Amino acid sequence: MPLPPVDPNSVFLNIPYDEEFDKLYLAYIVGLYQLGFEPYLASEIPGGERRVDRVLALIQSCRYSIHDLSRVELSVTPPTTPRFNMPLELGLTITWAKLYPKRHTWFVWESSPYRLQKSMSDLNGTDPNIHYGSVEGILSELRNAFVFRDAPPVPQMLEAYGLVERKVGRILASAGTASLYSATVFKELCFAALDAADITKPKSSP
Amino acid sequence: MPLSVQIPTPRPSRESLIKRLRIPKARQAELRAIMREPETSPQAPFSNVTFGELQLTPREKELLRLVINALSNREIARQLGVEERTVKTHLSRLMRKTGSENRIELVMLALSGSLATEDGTFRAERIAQKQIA
Repeated sequence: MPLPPVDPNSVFLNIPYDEEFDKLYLAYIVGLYQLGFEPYLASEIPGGERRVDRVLALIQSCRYSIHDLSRVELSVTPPTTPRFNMPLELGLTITWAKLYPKRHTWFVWESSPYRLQKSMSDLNGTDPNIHYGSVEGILSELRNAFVFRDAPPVPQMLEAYGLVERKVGRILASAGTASLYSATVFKELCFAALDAADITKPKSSP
Repeated sequence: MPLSVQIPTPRPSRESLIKRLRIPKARQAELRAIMREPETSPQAPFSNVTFGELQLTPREKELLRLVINALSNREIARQLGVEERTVKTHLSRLMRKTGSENRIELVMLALSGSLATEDGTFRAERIAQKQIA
């Protein structure tokens, strides 16, 4: 079977879809677009096959992936259950990247140092990017992970983020939904992120 | 040291990235207009909506509305496009905030006028509408 084409600017986001993650989710979208990347979510993929097949296909078509394990914890409601989706998707990604290292690079992100060593000691030797659960942390770590000359500075990224965040309510209302993670709203947030980058860019930049 | 990679430049143009989103032109125009609307209210979208002493997020408000309409967790999950366990999480948080022991108490509290008005419109929404008007 031929390998799927890889978009060099695509980033698969393996993140939790929950309200407490809203700000960080938005920070990933804004930050990645500021750096010229296209984020992809599993929620975007249309149904049909088994979800895990769709997730794997998405991982295979992306050049990079970010696995944010900061919310891998026990659910609030009984029976308390660990959230395994994100580690599972990380496992799939590691296997894929081992097979085709030139096609895929993965990153692990965490909210605090040493949490990864405790939750997944098999990953010892992998230093995660630590965002401390903050928008600034996400933006600054994105900039550290993806290095290129003339990358926008974090304050500029924060300004774009602030603009998008202030418009989220209006975007949701005009889309007639409350979910930030639906495929349509995700695309519209991506658009807002790109537009915010345009609005907030310094006058002298290209 | 966390992994970092050198990225080739120049980076793709914003126009090319926008094109790949495949958002209809009319909707793009609407979104552009939203992004440029003057910000009259300092309220951020993630800031909570106030119900007297209570602070409910937009998601909790929507969930409450569906609970009042006697939808099951499964039906709510389908409507919101989320997992049933996510609904349960939101619901337990909502009950904790309102001090309700169970779903019935939550609905009673909402319908008693403490949270919602008789026509189902939430007080905060009506206040906001009046302020806009």
